[in-house]
Amino acid sequence: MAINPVSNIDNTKSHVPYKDAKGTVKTDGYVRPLPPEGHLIHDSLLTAPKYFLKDIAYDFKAVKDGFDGNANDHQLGRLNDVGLKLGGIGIATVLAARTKNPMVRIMEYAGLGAFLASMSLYPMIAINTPSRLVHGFDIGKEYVDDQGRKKAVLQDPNYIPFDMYQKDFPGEDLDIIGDRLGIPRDIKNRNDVVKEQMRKIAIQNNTLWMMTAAVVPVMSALICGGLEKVIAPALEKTRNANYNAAITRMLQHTENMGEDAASIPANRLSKDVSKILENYKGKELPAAEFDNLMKLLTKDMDYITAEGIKSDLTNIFMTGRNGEKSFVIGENLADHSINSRIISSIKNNLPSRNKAILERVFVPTELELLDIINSEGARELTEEQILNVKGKLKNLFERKMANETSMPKEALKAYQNEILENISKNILKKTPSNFVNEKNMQDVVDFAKVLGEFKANQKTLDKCKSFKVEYAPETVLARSYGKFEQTLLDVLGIKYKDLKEMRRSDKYAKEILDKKLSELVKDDAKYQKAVEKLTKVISDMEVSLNGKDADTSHLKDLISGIENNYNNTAKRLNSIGRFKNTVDKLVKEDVASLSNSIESKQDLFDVLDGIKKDKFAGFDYWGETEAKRLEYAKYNAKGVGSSKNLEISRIIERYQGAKNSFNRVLHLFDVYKRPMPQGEYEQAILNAGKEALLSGTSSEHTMKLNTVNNPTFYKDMMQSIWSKNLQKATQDGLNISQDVASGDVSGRLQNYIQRFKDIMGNSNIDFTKPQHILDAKALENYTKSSKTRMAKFNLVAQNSVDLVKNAAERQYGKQKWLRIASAIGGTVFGTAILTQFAFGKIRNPHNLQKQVSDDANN
Amino acid sequence: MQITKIMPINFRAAALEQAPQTKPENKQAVDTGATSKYLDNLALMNAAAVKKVDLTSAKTEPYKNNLRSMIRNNESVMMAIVPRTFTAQDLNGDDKVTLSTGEKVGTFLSAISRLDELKEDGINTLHILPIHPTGKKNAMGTAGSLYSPAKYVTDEGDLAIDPMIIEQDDPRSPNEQFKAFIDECHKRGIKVMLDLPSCASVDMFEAEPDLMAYGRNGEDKTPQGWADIRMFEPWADEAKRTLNPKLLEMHKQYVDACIDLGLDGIRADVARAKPPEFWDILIRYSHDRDPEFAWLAESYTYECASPMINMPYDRPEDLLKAGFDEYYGQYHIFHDWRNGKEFNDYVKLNLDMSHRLPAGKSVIGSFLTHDDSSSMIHGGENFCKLTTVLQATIPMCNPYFIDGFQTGDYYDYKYRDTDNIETYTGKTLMNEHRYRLALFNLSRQPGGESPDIERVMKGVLNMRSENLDVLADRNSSFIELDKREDKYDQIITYARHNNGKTILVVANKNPNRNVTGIIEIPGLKESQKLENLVPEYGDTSEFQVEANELKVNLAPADAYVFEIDTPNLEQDRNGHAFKQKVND
Repeated sequence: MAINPVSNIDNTKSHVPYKDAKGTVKTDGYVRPLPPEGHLIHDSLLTAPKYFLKDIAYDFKAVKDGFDGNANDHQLGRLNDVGLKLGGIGIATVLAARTKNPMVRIMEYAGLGAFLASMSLYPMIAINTPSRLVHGFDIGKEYVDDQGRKKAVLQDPNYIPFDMYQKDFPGEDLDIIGDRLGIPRDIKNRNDVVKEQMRKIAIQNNTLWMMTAAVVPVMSALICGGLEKVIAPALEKTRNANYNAAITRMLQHTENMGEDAASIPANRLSKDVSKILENYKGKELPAAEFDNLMKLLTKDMDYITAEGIKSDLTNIFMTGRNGEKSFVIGENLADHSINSRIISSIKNNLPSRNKAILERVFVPTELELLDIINSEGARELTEEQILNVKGKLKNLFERKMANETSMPKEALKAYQNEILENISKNILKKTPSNFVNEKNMQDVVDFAKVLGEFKANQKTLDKCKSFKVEYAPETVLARSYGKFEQTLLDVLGIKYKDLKEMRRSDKYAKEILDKKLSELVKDDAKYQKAVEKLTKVISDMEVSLNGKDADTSHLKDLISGIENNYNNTAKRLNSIGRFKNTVDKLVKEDVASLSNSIESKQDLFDVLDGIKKDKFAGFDYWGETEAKRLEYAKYNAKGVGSSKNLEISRIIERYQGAKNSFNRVLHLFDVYKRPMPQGEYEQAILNAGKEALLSGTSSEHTMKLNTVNNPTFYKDMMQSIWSKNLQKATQDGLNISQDVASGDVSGRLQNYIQRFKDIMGNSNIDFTKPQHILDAKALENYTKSSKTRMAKFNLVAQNSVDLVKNAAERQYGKQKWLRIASAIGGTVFGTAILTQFAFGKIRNPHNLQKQVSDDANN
Repeated sequence: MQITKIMPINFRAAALEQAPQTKPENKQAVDTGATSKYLDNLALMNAAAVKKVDLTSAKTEPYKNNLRSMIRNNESVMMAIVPRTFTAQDLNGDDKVTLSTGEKVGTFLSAISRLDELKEDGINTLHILPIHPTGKKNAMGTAGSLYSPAKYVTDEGDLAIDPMIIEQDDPRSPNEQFKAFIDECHKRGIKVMLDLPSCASVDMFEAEPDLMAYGRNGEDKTPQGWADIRMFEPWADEAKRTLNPKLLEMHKQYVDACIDLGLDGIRADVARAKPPEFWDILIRYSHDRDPEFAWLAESYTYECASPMINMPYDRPEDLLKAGFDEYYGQYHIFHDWRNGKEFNDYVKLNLDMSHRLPAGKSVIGSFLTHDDSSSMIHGGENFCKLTTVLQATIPMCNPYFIDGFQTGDYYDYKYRDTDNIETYTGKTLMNEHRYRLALFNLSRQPGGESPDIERVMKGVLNMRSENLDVLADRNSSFIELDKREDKYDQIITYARHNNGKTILVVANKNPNRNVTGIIEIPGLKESQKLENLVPEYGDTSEFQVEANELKVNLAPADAYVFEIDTPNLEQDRNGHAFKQKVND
């Protein structure tokens, strides 16, 4: 069927060329574009957590899809971010694992967090916000696309979803943005111009971000500096609480240590020891195994105690089957050919002349030798049995000599003596036997049980001790020292330029310190405040060490715990009965009289300050009986050089080193506060006292502060400067801590000053200048250890100039870095902010205006 | 056409002299005598190609366009052709047509000779790529891009047609020749859709500044990557949403010219280049004259923003709401989809979208368009066959092909990037996008060396036409089927179901290897006989029917279509059965 062609041509209309078309074609009532399927994100602090969690969930999915091979481009891009974060965590973990310092470990992660935060914060603060304020729109705006993916709106200037600017907010209304950008309202296609400008500003700001991104590490370092100030105290508080709990736990545990060693459960050490000894039960313990045993038992023990253990164990194993010391012949107990070796040794040591005859007479057969040795008791022989062996050999030789005819008897006798001598010295060498019998084994295993528990306890107590008083950073003492230094610099008003000078030399440090102190003391209120601040730091240290209560003290409990551990271990070993050397090394005193040396917090303070009353205070040695003198000697020798003593004295000396440095500074403040006296002599004393307090070292005090030829001056100076009577302002400042609960900084400072005078002023150990002795009787109140060189050293502590100079060095380093970083950061921030005013300039603005005019004319 | 000069050649001036345009209002009724004479001549030249129809004796009926209804009913089967290559004669096999050596480009009239072939293949709609004279300045290739027109409509309101595709010896005007072609298509029941370019050539940009878009400083707006064309300015004032009256009027005149010529619809190139309001006005205008005038939008997928400078974002839904009947969709990236799930998800996405739009919208089977690389490079002829089966069986889809697909053309032209002194643009470099249909030069007729694709295509389209009730009817559901043991999800399988009738499609997406799996088909009986409704191709696949499941071992890129007896499949797969919007 044919189909006619289309014949619907309308020929009636007259044709008007389209070029002539005029008018306005409105589109009201016609289809408009649908709303976009994505949307802009409207961030706020409230919604930020939601988006943060969503982002994390998206990243997890991206990782999963990536591994499944299904990730899209956007997910792969996110994986880059995930990799950055995971990699950062990995690096932080590796770096953290390389240090034991808990603060450093935390800061590795904090640093990572600061870096990641800076990457977001820097553009937000320095670029996006200023841009928004200047240009009226947020260049950091994000949107969620139709696929649910979050992206930055203006990141790619060629892909901007402008239709998402739906006028919901001023910053999302192109009309308002156009007004802010200075685009005339009445131009055609204004939106095109607005978009073009937005695009341009976005590119400019993205470029700015790229060019200034180097500030991110600087910013993260600054953030870390701030974080440190928050993390460090929190960390200290947490760790302190943990260690205080551990101390309390250990105190209870050590108090409950029963004396009966047999009731102690087996531990790892005892099991290992038992395993070794089981293999040699009823046999000789080879030297190598003995050494092995020693290593096990003395591991983590101090040298002194290790010696004691070695000695005890040697004695135990040397006891033979019959309870006497036993020996073995030859060196190697495992050598079963000892008899043939003895025989060939005898043979080889024979003179070469007439060797054949001599061999016949003086070399026993294996059977003969075996018979002789076995008749005495196999190879583990006592001293007596060895002598008997020698005797029987002699008898054998004589029997053989009697039967020998080829050489005269006298000649043979002469050889006999020589040969017997040789046999005795070189061949029948005896080495102590290490025999594992039932009793030995039981004792040693019990010993291992006791020692195992001792070591376990000591390990925990060591950690507690270390946290409280050791040198390591982030210990209570070390952090308190740092705080004291910082506070001192603050109260003295030492500025950056001062720090710069002070760190250069002692001379500058002293000059500045002197100057600052002199200024400070002029203002009573300011001075008192300064003393209060320093007192607070010391008081805080005391509270950190001891706790807040007046009656209880963690440091006391720590010491008591250590003492209990040693004392009860000694008692247990004593109950086993064969470890006297070990006991001696551990405690060096009569086990029956073992007790805790500190009874209260006040007692602790006295011990720490070295002013605990000696039991024999005021003892007149030559005026007493022999028995009393012996008792006095024993008392003074008690514990001296013992492992326990070493442990505890370490705590005391570390404490004193720090505390007395602080006391010295407070004393210095007080002396500076004193009004200058009228007389020249008094002024000279005051000045000399200041000098001594500022920079006097232990050796200078030993030298009596350079007053060799002026003992009167020295004595007057000691009496005057080291007087317990403090200035009112000083006392008022110190009064914020006068009770035991807060550490009694005030009272103990006075005790310190008194003790200083008594010890240093009456010291006759190194510098025997009797004219410089103030009052020798004062020493009678102190323990012997108080009068040692170590005690004097701790009394003098660190001189204030050194303290301040070191503080200045550290502070200068920090501040210098901070200044540089802040300068860089500030410059970049400032530049970034100011640059906004140069962005978004309209090229050929006259064209815009021309367009407006053209349109108006048209 | 005789070439009077070698280089440079300004044939247009000569052509215009030789073949003056006639105004539509001066046009007479069709002169059967001239037509008969023409056909006689053609019959002499190429007896096999043309059947002379004695128009006087045949019963005649007025032609009625129903392309829009066909599209709405998913009954259109479209092929895209380029008139100047459709029947080009490349005698020496160098892939280009050198006129000076007697080779010929395709014309409207010569194109008639291939219409029966297309008809036999099952094609019932043609997409004619742009027919306008190409711009010379900044042109691509020696013939200029089809999408870089120097003119759309004449001052008289006729379509401006490239003289290259006009028989200069024929006395009819270009529009008359075009009309003759259109009429021949209609006689064969083939609808014709003309491609409306989106932009202008540089020549037109300079000649008609009132239509063009400019930057704020007077700079032209070139779509990123397309240096030979310039953007139109659809807005008078975008902020006020008022349109450029001249541009709109030009397009209205274009529509008028199309309708007057008997064209059945327009394919809008880069439809997003103009706003929805523009299309709404224009499409309504066309429907006022011809309610069945169909519109196809070149639009692919939702974009939050345009990745191309100077080009707006793509929003298919906006365009479909504005009046377009169908759009391109994303099937052209089928080869990039990793698995069957991605395929199914895309089908469902379109079905879902249909419910937000007026009923009757659809997508074309855009597995291969002129902007895509040949299907042959994605998996050879079996891949071509696979995509044919898929687009014939998925819902809400009007199958679509381009010339050359049916014989497996790689579109890898030998002359690509070589120089040619015979040029019509002043450019001698013969650019082409590799593996894509030639648009910039006088090229050979599309065709490859895999004629078996045509065999399968015919069979598939025939199968489709026999099962329109299931495969095209809007009421027909798309049923997802579960699978097991298909580790990498390479089996594409789904069922179409309507009124108790079920058609099962099973295909292997992978062109390189066999895949095995088990398809769960509730209600499938063990006794079900499987008879492939489409022509077999490729290696043999194996099937084992069991109760409620089908075990398969599919050869690479193999596709099967079975009718199965599962009247309750839709209920059994409740929650996995999807339909497009049936009615408003």
